[in-house]
Amino acid sequence: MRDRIPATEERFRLATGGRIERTRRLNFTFDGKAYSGRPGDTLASALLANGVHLVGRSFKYHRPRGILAAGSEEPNALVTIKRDWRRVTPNLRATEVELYEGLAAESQNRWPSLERDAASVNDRLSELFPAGFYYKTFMGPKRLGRAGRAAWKRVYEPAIRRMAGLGRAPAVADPDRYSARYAHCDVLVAGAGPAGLAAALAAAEAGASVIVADEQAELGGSLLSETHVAVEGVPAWEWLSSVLLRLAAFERVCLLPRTTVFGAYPDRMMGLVERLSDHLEDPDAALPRERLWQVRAAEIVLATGAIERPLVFPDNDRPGIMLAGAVTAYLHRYAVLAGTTAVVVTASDEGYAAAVDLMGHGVPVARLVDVRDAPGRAALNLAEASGLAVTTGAVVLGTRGRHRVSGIDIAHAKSARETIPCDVLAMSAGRQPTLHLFSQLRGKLAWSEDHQALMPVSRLEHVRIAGAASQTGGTVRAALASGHSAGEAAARATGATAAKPRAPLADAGNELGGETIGQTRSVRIAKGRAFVDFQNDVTSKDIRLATREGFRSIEHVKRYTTSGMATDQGKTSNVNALGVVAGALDTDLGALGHTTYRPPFTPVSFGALAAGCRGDLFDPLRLTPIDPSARARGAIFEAVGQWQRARYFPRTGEDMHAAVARECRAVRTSVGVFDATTLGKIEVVGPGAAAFLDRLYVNALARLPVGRCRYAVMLSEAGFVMDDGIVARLAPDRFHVTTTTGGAARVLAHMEDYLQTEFTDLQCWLTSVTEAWGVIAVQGPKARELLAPLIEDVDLSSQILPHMGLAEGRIFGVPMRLFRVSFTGELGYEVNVPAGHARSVWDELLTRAEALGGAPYGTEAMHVLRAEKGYIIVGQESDGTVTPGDLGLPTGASKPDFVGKRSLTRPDMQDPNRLQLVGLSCVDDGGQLEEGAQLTQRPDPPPGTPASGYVTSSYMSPTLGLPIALALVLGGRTRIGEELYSPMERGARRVRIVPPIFHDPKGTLLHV
Amino acid sequence: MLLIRCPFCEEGRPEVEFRYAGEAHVTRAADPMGETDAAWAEYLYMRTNPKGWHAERWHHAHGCGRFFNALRHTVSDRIAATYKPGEPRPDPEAGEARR
Amino acid sequence: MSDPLADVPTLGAVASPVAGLELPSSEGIARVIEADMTGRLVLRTGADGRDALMGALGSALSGRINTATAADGCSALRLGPDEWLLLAGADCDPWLSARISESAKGAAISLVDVTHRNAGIVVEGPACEAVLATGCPLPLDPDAFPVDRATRTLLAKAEIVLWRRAADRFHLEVARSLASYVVGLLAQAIADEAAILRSRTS
Repeated sequence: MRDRIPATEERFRLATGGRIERTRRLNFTFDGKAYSGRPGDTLASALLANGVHLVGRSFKYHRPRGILAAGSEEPNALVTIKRDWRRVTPNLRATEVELYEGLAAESQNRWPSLERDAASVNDRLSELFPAGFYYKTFMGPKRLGRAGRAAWKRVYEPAIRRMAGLGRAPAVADPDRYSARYAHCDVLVAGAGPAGLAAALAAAEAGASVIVADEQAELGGSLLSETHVAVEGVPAWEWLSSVLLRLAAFERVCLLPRTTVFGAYPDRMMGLVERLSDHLEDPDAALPRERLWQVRAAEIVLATGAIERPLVFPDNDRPGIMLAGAVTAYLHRYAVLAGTTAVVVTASDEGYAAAVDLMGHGVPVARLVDVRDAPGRAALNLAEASGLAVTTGAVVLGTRGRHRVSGIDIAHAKSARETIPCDVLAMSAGRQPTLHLFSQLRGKLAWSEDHQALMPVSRLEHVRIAGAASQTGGTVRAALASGHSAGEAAARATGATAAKPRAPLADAGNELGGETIGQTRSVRIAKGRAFVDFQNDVTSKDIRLATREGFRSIEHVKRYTTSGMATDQGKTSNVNALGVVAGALDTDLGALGHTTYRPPFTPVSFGALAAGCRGDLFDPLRLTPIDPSARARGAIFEAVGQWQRARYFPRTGEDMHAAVARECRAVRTSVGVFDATTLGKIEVVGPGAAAFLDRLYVNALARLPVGRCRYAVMLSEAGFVMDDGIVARLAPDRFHVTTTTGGAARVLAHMEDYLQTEFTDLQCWLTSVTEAWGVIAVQGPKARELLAPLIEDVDLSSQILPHMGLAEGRIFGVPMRLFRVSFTGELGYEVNVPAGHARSVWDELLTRAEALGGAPYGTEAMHVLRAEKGYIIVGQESDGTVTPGDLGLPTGASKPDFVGKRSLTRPDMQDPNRLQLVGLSCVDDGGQLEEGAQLTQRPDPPPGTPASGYVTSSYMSPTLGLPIALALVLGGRTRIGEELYSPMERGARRVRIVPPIFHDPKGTLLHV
Repeated sequence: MLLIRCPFCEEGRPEVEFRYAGEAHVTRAADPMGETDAAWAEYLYMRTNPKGWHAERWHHAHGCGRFFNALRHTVSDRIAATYKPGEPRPDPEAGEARR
Repeated sequence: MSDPLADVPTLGAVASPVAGLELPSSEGIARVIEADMTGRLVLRTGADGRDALMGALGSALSGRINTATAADGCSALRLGPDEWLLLAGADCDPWLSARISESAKGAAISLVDVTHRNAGIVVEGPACEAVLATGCPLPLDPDAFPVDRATRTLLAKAEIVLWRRAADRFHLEVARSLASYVVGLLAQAIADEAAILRSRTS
């Protein structure tokens, strides 16, 4: 226990009752001040127990705000919870934060303190923040001109943005773990109130597998604040305990408290987030904070309850003004009195029950103010029996108080103005069924005059709605009955056949129904601001202004005024906003439709959505079998897709430039060894293999002899270069095909597509063998000298194994496929060995290569060496608009057909002025060109001048001792010798167009 | 996440195992070189893009590896039927019944 | 001239992609171990090939898609309508391969040795379904995924072949470069499951 004496002693806690644990005290702080509460409290109930109502400042006007609700719909009481310096979570609803020993909460959106907030001046300047404020303000006033508006943007916009807003985003990386799991069940029940529990029980008894999720810490929903009703002859809480035990006993029932069903997705996939550790004082470091569930349910029961609506009247946002249902929830569930003198303002009969409840707990209710002329008979009877003073047909003129409501001004038939003192104002305008998930699933809602709420008007396959979500003014009895039948029907729909479950029965309870919603008459005649959306500070006046400015669609009004766009997504405001718009446009509420509900129901942390995909597990990191050896030699790596490839192997004191130059020289003068394992490899086998490859590549492959390789280019059907590689024929019906590292999966899918759906006349099969083989390129004039003594069964002489030859044999006793191919322009081989042997073969080869003066080289040297030879890299010299002709490669003119051929004959593809691959040499001595730099005719082209081309590759050539570049230039091949410019920030570079082969243009070195 | 019935696996599988592969029943000409430029451009680039039922190709890339066709409603995202390449496009309403 | 290969060492042991990885284990949850099956062949063939291979593989190729069927010396996992992954002990590879090639005779088949392509990983323990469910979107309960069901699917971002060997044991085949990622995922899932279980019982 911490050594702190609470400043207050839960003065508003009742001596008995509630579901809190009275024997233990929990110390916590709010804005640094110490308080106490009890296990079972939320931060909100504990604050109220200590008489704290002022808990935050509003978004725009910085008005003092209190606690409106008792659940996830809370718009005002947003706090920041600081667990430690790395664990700071803003914008949590105090009504959902479970109390634990030592909890530290802070209010938001205030400076220097909650009581004395400097920006509360905004409240008096409210004329400056009309509807559409952001659109109007951030453009800057027109009279400022262009420069002035830029200054406006720089100076004022950040200031305004700082002043408005909620909590601060965390500044450091989230240290917590998050988990995820997929789950499957027969019946998913969203919400564990009376309807949800009855549904779960019925489904489980019928034999179905069931997941029950509820956002609250305890399962029970409205039963948790229900003290009047008896179920199956026992008090509600007793029945709740027994039913939870019964459910837990089913092996195929999964109960998930603290779990929000936040999203509904196609084909009955539901998104749930389970909070695992936020409620614990000192959670196990290994315990994930949250867990994301993706549940595929055969049937869904939505038992999500209903959310009470506030009334819209001037100054309806002061601390102490609360939803009537919240006042009774704090009373019954937490044994907390929200005040000492109450007034109830209602547009629904539900307010009467709240008033009578308060009186029953010794809180005088100074008046029940009913804005309706004719309340229900049952309500009036209840008032009369309880001695409750009622004023009907009243208009609320406003409220009094600053940091806490102190009274209400009303007008009615008998008095033009009457002030009634109070320190808690309970309001109720009926309830809106919580149909977010139904709407997310594209269920249709429409305004129902009978229910005075948006109600479902379409049916969704596999979805049932039960309890307060399906009806208004419902009772526990009705909720149990509808939940039971929904649960049983859902189970039967999945084929569950166990015995018929029995429906739980509640006593009649309170039959009061709600009515009337929307803006009360008071607003039109009174001054002051009547808030519709508390969290985004949107008033009825803002909404009316939007309609005057021409906005008619509720979706447009929403976006213009930002009503319903805060983190609470308008749970308490959307229907009231509809009511105000309907009033302003003098139209039926039903004609307006409603805004679209989208996931998530309540905010979901990025941590939960990312779940385990972070750090090393964010994306697979693919390492070649040779990787440990390269690392041991100090290689510097680069990411190529998911692969890690050794970029260069620096020796002590070398930078990249020096290392790459040395590696290039080793290849040109001795021998270099390179890990080419990441290249994609596909084995194509079958009687149709040759014909198939002939149709997939530009090059003639049908008659490629066994034992030979060919460089081959693959096009998309549109005629553009897609990939390239080596096609090697191992046997008449067996080919080994390589692809680019990044293209492996794409090429395989492309081949499968044609094989399965177009060239079905050909019989062959594709097997990915990318990872079956480790590939070591051995390149350089001493390559043969290095390999010959190590290889069995293969004669490396050019007569037997010429350039583009292929042989199978053994190296170090290990089976090998040997390709005589070169991507460097030197004598070269690619040694393919089973991946499990690749590292030891590499190690042995490297030792021997170094004895010959050779070296390992990385991807950077590989790039330089191939650029010196003008060999292209797909994706660097090509960008999806480049044809083989553009690159100076064969165009397959002699073949009747292959994928992409027809497209190459389109007029545009034959234009002699297309971008063509050329080399560039620098006329000036400014060093290497920049890759991607544009090329122009003039050194100082005026804006709008079309470029003549651009640089695709640029390197310092160690072989030539000069900078070299490859480029795509309009009609480039006919412009050899011409000069161009590359205009850069520090002046234009001057370049000359040259052929794209800088080293050994005749290719004699390949054939030594 | 859609649950897509693979006609080769003969069961519904999660969407993440599949890759979308464009409109179905767009057939490559037997002799592309015999096609006019206009016809070839039509084949390459023009698609029906309907609001409603759309026959489209899916690839069970992380499953059995087969390409197949699906009849999906582009508004509701509902898949009425899936079928093997070469099979005729089913009637969506009949497909609904088969579900 | 002496034997040119005299001083060239013959390389022995195969480097396993799982060797060197820390394999997680948590009492009462699950553990990860390296599979002992190491010989792998991908067999592709049509109906005629299947008939021809009866001699070599018996009825192993007649199992339904997405199931595993035992054959003499190997298990045949039917991953596609015309695709089998044959898993066997390392020793029997050469003769298995030869036997299949011989008995295919004239029928068109594709037989490719992918022994070194994959890593074989076993996840076993009472919570193995829950551990795999952290990343695998398929239903894994024994009704939906009984013993000897085998299919290609995903574990988070890695493609895997998932084969149920027993009520509490699964065999995973993954590309060798993905082994460390998959083991990492499983380690995290096992740790998370263990911590969640502890929090429930404490």
